[in-house]
Amino acid sequence: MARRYVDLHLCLDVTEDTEGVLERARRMMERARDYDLSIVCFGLRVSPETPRSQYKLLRREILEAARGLGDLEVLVGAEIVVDEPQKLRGLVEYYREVSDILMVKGGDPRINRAAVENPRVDVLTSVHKSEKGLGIDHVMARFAHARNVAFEVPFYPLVHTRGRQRSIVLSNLRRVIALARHYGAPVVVTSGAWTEWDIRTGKELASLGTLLGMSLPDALDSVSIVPESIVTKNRNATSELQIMPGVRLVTEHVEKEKKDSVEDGS
Amino acid sequence: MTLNSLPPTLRDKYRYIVFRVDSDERHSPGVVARAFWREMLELYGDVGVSRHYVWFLQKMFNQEAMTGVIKCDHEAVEKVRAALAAIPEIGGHRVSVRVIGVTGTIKSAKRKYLSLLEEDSGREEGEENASA
Repeated sequence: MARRYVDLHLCLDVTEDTEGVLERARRMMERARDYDLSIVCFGLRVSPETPRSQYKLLRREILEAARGLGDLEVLVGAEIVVDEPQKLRGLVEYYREVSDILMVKGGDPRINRAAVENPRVDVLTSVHKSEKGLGIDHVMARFAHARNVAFEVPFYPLVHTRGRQRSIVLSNLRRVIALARHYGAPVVVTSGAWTEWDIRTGKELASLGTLLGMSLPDALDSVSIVPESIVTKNRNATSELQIMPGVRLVTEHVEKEKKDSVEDGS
Repeated sequence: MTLNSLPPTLRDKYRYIVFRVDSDERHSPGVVARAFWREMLELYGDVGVSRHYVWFLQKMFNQEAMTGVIKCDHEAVEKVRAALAAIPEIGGHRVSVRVIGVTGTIKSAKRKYLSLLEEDSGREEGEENASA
């Protein structure tokens, strides 16, 4: 069966002009469809100051615009940006309920730590952007594994940085991947695109993983199986069949048992 | 003195990467080749590139369909793919370069990918002319 490629992070800023953001989102969705991606997720950047009504409006408009795109599945999530880890908890509680994927913009080690300790967070983004070397350590990698929080490896800096800056970014990303692999934490490779020109196909995204020390099968999984499992997990959590965390009604078995009992009776 | 050809097991194993440049403008083969070489050298350095036996086949670049072929060592396909995807702009215009397919011979690259793409671009141009 052919792989289904997923791009879990296309960036949009909620505070920008709504019409402009929507137009850019439309162009990005069309490009993603042309590049045979199966699922894309917009990460709308929100901060404590962002009006929540603005986020909800933009989310609704994007999902409305995504209807005529055929096989491409479009999700809308939130990327929380905070400067203090204390502010994170409240925002996570709110945006968890109104987003398909919940991301936290990392960089500062205190925020990275707060994010990976919270099992309601799906993805920690911009891990490589710490001012003092790498922003994560082995304790955070262990938490990420235990809480199932994925580290993001974006393609964007490979395209938009040059020289010394690019070599630093690539070194940091390589360390993130090595730590995640050692402790079994999930890694997702994304485009981190701000325009349609930054969107890449699944195999091109996977090639960044291979460049940073992943094996080709692992790199392909990080743009297909790993992000899709995050999407499925969230979908199951919001499904009516979810009785409580960890307990789900499996309808196929119920229907099969019903069918068997009818056949036995006849 | 003529050199004997190497036995098959000792010959280099090449791959031919067929790619397409998505852009608002059409670019000449020379400009695309320069952008590709600059990206390869910036990303992997002189020594790194020398290990991959890379060659940009300028004569096979189709300016209408914006497709081209790059020859490289069979173990360097993913590296060339990453370098192509990392090209941000050509001639001042934003681009996005994607690999369409990878083959073991030029003949199969032409048969599998380039002939189809040329037909497609010809058909699109015909439609544009008809609508005009």
